[in-house]
Amino acid sequence: MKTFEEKLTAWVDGELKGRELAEFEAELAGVKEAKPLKLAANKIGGLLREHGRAPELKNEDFFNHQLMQRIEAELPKQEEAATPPRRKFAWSLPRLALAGAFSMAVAFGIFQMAVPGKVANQPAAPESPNSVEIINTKGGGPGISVSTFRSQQNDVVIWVEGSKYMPDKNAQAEKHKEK
Amino acid sequence: MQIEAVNITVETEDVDLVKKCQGGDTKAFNELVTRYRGKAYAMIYNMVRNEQDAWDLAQDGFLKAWKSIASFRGQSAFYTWLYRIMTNVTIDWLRKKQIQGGTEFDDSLELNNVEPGSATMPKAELLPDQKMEHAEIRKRIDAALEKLSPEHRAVIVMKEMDGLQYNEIAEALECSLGTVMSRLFYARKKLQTLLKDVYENI
Amino acid sequence: MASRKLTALIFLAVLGAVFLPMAHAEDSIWSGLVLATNEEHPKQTPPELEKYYSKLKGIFGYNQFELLGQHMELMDSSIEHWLIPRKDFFMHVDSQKSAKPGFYRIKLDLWQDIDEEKKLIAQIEARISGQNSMFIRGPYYGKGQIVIILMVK
Repeated sequence: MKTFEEKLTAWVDGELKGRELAEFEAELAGVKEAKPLKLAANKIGGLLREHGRAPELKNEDFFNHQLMQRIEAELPKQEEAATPPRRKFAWSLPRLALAGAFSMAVAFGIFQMAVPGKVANQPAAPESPNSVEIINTKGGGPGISVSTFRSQQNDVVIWVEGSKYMPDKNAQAEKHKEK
Repeated sequence: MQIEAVNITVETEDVDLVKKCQGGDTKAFNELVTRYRGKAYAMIYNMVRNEQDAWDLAQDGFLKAWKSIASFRGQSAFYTWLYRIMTNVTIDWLRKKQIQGGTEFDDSLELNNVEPGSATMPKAELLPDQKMEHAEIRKRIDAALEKLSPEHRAVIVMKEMDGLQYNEIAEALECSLGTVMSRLFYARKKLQTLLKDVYENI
Repeated sequence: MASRKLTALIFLAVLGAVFLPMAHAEDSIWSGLVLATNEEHPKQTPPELEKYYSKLKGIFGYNQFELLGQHMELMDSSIEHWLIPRKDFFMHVDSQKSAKPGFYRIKLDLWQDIDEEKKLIAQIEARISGQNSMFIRGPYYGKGQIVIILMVK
């Protein structure tokens, strides 16, 4: 059996149906503030949905990266996969060197003949993936950490965390550009 | 029917990913995180009203989900299970904050109970054409929600902002339907007192 | 024995002829100091940043990007450069050709000047090749965030 508050909540949310609804509305007939209460509850709901909704999660890639780092730190250390066995080449080294030199010479010759002189004036080549390698990172002091990850588009991102906030008043007004 | 079909497909995919996670596949878990990070963050933010805290708690929630993924039996949808974890992590945090004196939840304030025959509530005295800025309204909402206890905040956020049904809220909070409805009643009463001038003025 | 030596020499010479041109003496490193903010009505992106807009938005989540400064320096061996010389935030770069063909080895030091005190906030060592860029998330600045873009041109 529902209490008065439970029935009122259900009535406000339109969850009362049929006989239960009719009975409760009859009970509420003498309560002047029942309808204003329902209206207020609906307005509050609207207010929360319109003005109180959460902002979008920023830096989503970093969210995953940071989380996965924490998870991987918890995983037990696994043995590194064994390196594959060294292949035995059928050719001896001198034969291989000769074949390599010959094909390089041919390729170089074709390159020199077929490609126009000034490589520098060619339009910029598209970025090649995996052509940025981070060797080492270090935070500059206590509380500062530096981590790296690749975005979903495979860009290298270096994330410096813990540096001090700089208010606008510290900035110089000038913006200087070099042509 | 089409929406149902899509939901079933998503659930099946989640089940496949969970199975992989249970086998230790972190990449599968990363995929689940990508799917649900936005929703989890929004739910937590609605409760704690702070971006950094919401970020940290969402991380903690996912970490907890990873650690207990073996216990997921598929009796509910993955997101329902995850949502419960996030709710628990958030409510525990809010309770801890309360104990440490960070906020005051004052559910004991005298409320105007709705009883048959009681006097009509007075109208607000603000001018009807006054408009409040969005940022100011947001601040008022944040302040009002902070006044609610974690349990009352949870039900109102889940009902009004996350759009859950009573039974879904009851499942997430592991309480009865009656408790959900009763808490909603008191949460709404409290917010009416705290936000009356706001909602009557927009 | 002599023929083996000759073969090896030919091989190395051909390799050098093919790969050395890749490390152009006229390579430069371009850096942009960007202020990223979230605005209700974002301003138009500066032309220098247009090609980075979707990446910046995707990685950092902001919708407006202003170019606070930019700098171009020749990539040369054993020369140190100061990039983006500003009073409150600057970067020191040490670049040299890497042993890996086509790559440059870069050492970056990021400095902040707060209340007239220089603070080193990060040190980064990387290998980067031509036409590639990387992004560095810097400190919060005003109502947004500093992002640095580095690109070898």
